[in-house]
Amino acid sequence: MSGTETGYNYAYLDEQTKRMLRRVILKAVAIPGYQVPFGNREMPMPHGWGTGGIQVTASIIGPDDVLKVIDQGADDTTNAVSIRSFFAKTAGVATTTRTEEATIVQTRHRIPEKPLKEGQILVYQVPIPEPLRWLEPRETETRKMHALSEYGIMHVRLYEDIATHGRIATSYDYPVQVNERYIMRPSPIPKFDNPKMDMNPALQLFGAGREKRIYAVPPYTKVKSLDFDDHPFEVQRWDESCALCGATDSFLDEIVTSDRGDRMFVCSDSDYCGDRQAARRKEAAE
Amino acid sequence: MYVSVKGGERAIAAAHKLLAEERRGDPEVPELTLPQIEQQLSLAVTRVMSEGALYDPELAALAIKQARGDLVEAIFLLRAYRTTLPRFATSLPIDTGRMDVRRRVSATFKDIPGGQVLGPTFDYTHRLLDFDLAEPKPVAAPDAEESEPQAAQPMPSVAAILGQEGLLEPEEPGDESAPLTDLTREPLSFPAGREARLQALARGDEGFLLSLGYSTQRGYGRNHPFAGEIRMGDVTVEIQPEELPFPIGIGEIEVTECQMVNSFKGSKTKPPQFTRGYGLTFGHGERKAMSMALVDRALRCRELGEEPSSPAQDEEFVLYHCDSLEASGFVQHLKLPHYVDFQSELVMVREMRERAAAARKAEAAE
Amino acid sequence: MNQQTRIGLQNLAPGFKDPQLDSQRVFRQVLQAMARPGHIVAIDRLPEAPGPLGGGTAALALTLLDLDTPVWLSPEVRDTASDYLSFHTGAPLTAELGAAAFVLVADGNKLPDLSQLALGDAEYPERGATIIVQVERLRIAPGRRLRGPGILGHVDISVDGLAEEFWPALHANRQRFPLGFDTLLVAGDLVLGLPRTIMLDPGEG
Repeated sequence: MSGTETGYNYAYLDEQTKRMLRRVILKAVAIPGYQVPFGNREMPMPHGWGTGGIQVTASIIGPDDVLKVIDQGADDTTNAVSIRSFFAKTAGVATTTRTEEATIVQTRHRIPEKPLKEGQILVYQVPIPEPLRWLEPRETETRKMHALSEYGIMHVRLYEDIATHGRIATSYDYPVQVNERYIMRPSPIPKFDNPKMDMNPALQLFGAGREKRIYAVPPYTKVKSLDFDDHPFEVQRWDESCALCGATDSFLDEIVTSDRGDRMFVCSDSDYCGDRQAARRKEAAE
Repeated sequence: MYVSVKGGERAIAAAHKLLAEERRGDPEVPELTLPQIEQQLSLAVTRVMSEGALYDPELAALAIKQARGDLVEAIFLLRAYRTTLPRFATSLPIDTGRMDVRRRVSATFKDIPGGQVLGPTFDYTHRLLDFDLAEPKPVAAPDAEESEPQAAQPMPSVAAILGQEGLLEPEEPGDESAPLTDLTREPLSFPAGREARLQALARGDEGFLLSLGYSTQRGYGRNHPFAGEIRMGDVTVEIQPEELPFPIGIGEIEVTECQMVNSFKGSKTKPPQFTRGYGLTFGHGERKAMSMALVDRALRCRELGEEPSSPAQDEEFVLYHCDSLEASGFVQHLKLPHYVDFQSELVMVREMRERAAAARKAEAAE
Repeated sequence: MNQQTRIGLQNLAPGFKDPQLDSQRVFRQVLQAMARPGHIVAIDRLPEAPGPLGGGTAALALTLLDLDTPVWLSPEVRDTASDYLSFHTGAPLTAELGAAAFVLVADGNKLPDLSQLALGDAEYPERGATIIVQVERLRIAPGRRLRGPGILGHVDISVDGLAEEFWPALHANRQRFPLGFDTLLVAGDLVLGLPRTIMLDPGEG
């Protein structure tokens, strides 16, 4: 037992489980975008709360790490708080809200606005890992499609969107192709974040606990959002800027401020927004 | 460097306090003890042990107490605990033929060697609220003869009796040296072996299996079931230590077993034979054991040359959706914030509406 | 496990000082090696290891192997270190190269027949083997030019003590992607990862 107060093993999981997960992660890195099956363990939080990401983090984390956990881009979201305190307790790690200080960032639904660096690891919580699942519910079938690179149905689906709506009507969990081979779900991040995955210096690991799959994008790996020549991939834009920090380049959450429908827009990334607000205050004081 | 985020932490701590208060209820009312739950809510305890996949009545009682009687939540608590336990040994298969039987019924024969034993069953109770139970009251002792385990008389299984005549498909033990799938350590892969299916069903949600089993009776994958035998009682769990020439018993567990006898099969070369479905639960769990046996038989359709056409025969559908932890977690995770995804959709739908309005305007102008 | 009690414990070198934390740390170093091929990573938790098994290789073995990973050992390792590996990892030894999840080779000049390695199948490519090969020297220097995921542009590596036949086998490995084997080259405490995604520039070296 290495210095935690819980009565459970270091980082909660037993060593054999961690070894199994570690081997799975290495294979995931060697086959970018391919979903490696693994023997999911029941975790002390429910499926859907990030059990896949938590198992990935538990198998990689050590006492020298500095952990940041975000949900919806924010460090103070209830479940992010809960996961952070789980690892502070079971792994005795330092935690931070600052993206640049973290060695591991566990996330649900966002990629931080500040660019990640070499050596950092971004762990995504994934609800449904299979990009073809809505088109074909059977695992036996989708596994074959990946094996044969038979991705025609995905292109047909996207093209049907264009026929119906004049555009690809997917705004989050937008499918990507990794290293020109596997089609991958980036987890429900807004498509605004998709370009950040491409050639990112950080290692990106994806954990889906209930679905028992782990996959990865190594650093400096091509990640292309699917599109067509006549309908190129585009990200969301806002006419507004952040009401707190004035950012025009970040993903904005909409907050309803009155029952008359008044709204304000603020950064979803609380760390990015906080830094910008601090810089503004400093500037104003000088 | 520990950075706390105060708002969220305070809210969580406050929620936990409220939960503890609600769980306790009115402090004037005496607090439940674990033996009370174990003894007086024993069917809840055995369901939690079965689907929680851990035979420990005391911990199951604790889980029920902590979960305020929410059995799916209690099952979750027990599973999350069991997954952290070290494995000391693998037991030998239990022998239900050597069960100390407390209840045993067969719907296929009027009388069978060893006899029918009605035992403690709701089956012939009139479902009238018993207002006498509203206040504590001593219970009349059962007749001595009725309460004795019936093990003194041999009780061959009905399946064995049918098997002697070759009327029931034999259940050959598989290659015992071949590694068995262990669902607690490996993910499901398809087609799943029968051992993997039975493991998944044994841990599966009773309500889900009940409805699926029922659907087979109504024609969605009909397989003409007869309750060949249902038996409930205690069996010995044995392990075979490498250094000993004989197995040693490590304890007794209560189980319920259902052997379903199903529609017959035959071919030009093989005379017709009845087929089987199998169900087993910890404790007294007849409804679950019977449902499991129906679904097991339905899932054997391919192996028995039947065209799968119904939900209960679809192994991906059944096995991917029968686990209450997975189902409950994913349904309820919709409570977690999805601001970012919803915002993404809002931006897109607004843009699409603007574009449609502009197109209409342009059309009107032409 | 009883097999382990038959091993003469008193003759065995000890494993990690802190099995939990040392294996965590070594894993991160291996992960770094696999995620950033062409970066030579130093392993800094080195267990004592018997005979031809170097500290780096022993660290990888103790971190990655267990009861669930059949391992094939090159003859030198088999002769001198199989008790050590059995005791510390419990990994079952296999004489069949194609059945091994991990392959440990003590001398890169004496490679087994790489065409026999498990490569996985199209539906489960992760079942391809991981081979750990000890070499004399690893350097970032003109030699072989590598490209692929994890490498920004390209990187040149120079390896001493590795049979020439390795390179065409690595090239063939890339052609079969996503099937393939993954390689860790180890020189003392230094590790270089060569996942199956690695592409060799033609005509280099």
